[in-house]
Amino acid sequence: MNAFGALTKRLIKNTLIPNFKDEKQKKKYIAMLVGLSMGIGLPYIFSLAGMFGLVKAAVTEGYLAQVLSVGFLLSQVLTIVFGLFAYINIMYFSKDNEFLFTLPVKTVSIFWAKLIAILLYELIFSVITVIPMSIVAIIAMVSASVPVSAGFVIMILPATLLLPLMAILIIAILSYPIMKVMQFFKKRPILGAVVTILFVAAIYVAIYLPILLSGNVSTGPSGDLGSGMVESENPSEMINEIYKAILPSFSKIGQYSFHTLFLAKAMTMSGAPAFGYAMAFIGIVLALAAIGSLLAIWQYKSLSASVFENGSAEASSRKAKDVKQNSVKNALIKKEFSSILKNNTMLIQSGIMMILPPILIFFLCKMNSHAGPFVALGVAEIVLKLMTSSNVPSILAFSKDGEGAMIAKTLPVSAKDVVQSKIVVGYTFSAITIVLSTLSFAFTDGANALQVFGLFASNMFYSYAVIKFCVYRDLKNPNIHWQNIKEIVKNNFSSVIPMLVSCIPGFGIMFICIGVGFIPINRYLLSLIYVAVSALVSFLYYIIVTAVYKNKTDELYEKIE
Amino acid sequence: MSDILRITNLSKKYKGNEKYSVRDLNLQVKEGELFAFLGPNGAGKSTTIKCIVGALPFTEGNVNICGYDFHEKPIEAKRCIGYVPDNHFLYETMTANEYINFMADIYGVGINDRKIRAEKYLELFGLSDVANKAVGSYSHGMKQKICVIGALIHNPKLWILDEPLTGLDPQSAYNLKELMREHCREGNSVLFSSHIIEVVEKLCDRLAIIDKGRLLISGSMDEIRASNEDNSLEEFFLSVTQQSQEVRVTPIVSDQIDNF
Repeated sequence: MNAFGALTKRLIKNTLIPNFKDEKQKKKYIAMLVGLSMGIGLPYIFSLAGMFGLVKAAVTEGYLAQVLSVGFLLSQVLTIVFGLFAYINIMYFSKDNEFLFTLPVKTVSIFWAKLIAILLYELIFSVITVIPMSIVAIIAMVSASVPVSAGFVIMILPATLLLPLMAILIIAILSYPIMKVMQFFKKRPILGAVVTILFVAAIYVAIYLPILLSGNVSTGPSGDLGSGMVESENPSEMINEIYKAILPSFSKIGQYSFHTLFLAKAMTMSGAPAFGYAMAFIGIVLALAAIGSLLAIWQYKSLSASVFENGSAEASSRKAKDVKQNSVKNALIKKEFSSILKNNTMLIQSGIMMILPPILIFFLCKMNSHAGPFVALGVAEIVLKLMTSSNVPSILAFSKDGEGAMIAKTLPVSAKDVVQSKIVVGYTFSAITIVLSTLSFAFTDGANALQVFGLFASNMFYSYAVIKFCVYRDLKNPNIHWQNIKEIVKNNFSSVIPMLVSCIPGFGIMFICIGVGFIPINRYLLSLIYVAVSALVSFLYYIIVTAVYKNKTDELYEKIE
Repeated sequence: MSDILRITNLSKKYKGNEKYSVRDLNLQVKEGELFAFLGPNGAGKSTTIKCIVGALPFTEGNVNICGYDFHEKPIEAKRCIGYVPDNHFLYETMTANEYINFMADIYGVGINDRKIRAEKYLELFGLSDVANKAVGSYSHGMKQKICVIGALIHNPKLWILDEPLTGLDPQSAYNLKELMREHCREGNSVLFSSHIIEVVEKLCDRLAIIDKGRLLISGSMDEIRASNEDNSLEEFFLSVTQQSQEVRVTPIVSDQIDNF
């Protein structure tokens, strides 16, 4: 095997295949995958059923290409959202860069080997969107007696491969300003991370804003789907009319996404026009690949070497500060904050998880406000509960310390103090998220003070229980032997379990909120019921977590290896 | 004997730092030579080595390996090197065999050669039985040994080791030192950094002492012994580095050593 092949094979294995300590861990991993598939599977099947209705309406109304175009665009957005930091971590912050640069392999080969590994890693978003959507479209076309061309079927594979490739090349271009910002602010890492987080937040806003605006266009000035647009009393006809009502907004978005529209037209048309659109799509991909890869290779060459160079020089460039004596607890908390604030990747990941919920809540609540404030409240609840369960400082409380976690055990401090310091730091990040998210929810039309207070107070309590759970989960099974930040999460079951657990109270409260919205009693009384239920759920969670890990701190701490 | 490694006016300044970590370094390693790079902690040994192997870009100067200028022919130059880093980086998910084969693929080593060399070195370091286990489960010393095998799999003309004896048990340390000698006897060269003076004294043909990024002295062991009859290498090292703390010492090369 030649050097490029060997390198690519190794990087693919390293990126995609989990590292199991033993058979027991492998079985746990498979069980978790099955659980995750079942947990996500049901809502996924529902969304496919919803998609079928939409695509069928699009087929009969002549909007199929536009709807497919939006679907393809969504797949790319997912790849960009989830792939941005995977890309930065693998390309620039991976510990293997220093090793790879000593090998007799061209930098361009290292870049492409890494890019291929990232592409395969991110292919999942394309596989779960493009392929099912295409199959749903085929079924919808057949059921509407619209002929399906051979080109449609043939184009599914190139679409699945080329759409994420384009997205990753866009990520490569987006990563340049992010890395530049990091470099510019290298002597002020916190300020630099804040700017980076705001930049990423701006990307998320840029993604959601057009959807919100197009949603407003389709729902009319009142923002109410029911305001004269849906007239039928029959539920299935009503849903069909809702689909028809939202099709123009898909058309608007799909129409301006030229590359995905060309692909969609290549699939839905036949003969010479289909071939022409296919060539146009491939032409755009090739042009982006040429420009994007040239730019990306150039920036990889210039940035990757300097990333670990900066790391080497960092220590000597810091000025000495006045030393103050701290108590053991304060010293531990200070060290915890320092380990996050002085690690760009950790800080940015923590920061994004902090700033993303308020953005999501603002847009999702605005989009759902026509359905009433309780539906928006339900949306805010699920977003907040799931996102605070992904609190990076507590999920990686011990894993992030790497092998230093073992060395820390030699310090004369109690395990309880160590755990508590990690809970305090994780909770600080979570509390900021909740404050920002509550403020964000307060802008929802029709939200009352009781709902705002309930969202804030119950989640502050809930979050404390979740953080405690996350820290103990990581203490129980830390992943301290890692090469880059992404790997800490990859093989760490603890990172997913708190979020899965939060699905139960999160979806529960969300459905209750949606349900109570239809009860014809005073809204303040309903809000009071919401506050009581939400507080009870948080209290129960806290009681369970405390009971599960009672008197286990020392035992778990001793077992870190 | 021709130069396997020739460093000319090498300077390295880390980004964001005002001071040079390595300044105007000139050094040659000849064919068949076992060359030691000696210096206190933070002297610039690892920085120099990382510049030579391509892990760090250097600010000024030239590095020529086996006749290849590093700037002009980096791939050819790297092919001549086998490098054992101080942090013994390894992909934790790989087994020792996978790592060795990976390195063999990268350096284009044929199946027969890699098999013979892998068996020889795995046996020598007592790793044959664990060669199919993931290196993530290895001890510090075992990882170090795998790095050594990976660096030797293509029989490099220049074998560079950064603090190679750290963490090795006495038997493995002895084996490694023997391997370094054997590599030189076969006409190849070895450059290693260390701050263990006894090892340097017994092992190397020539040495260079570096401190604060500057070359303090460079010469053969015989030359240094001749100029330093009354003192051990340890005392000589301490006196040279002590002087560099007090005044900036003009670099002394082998032809000036008698005047030192």
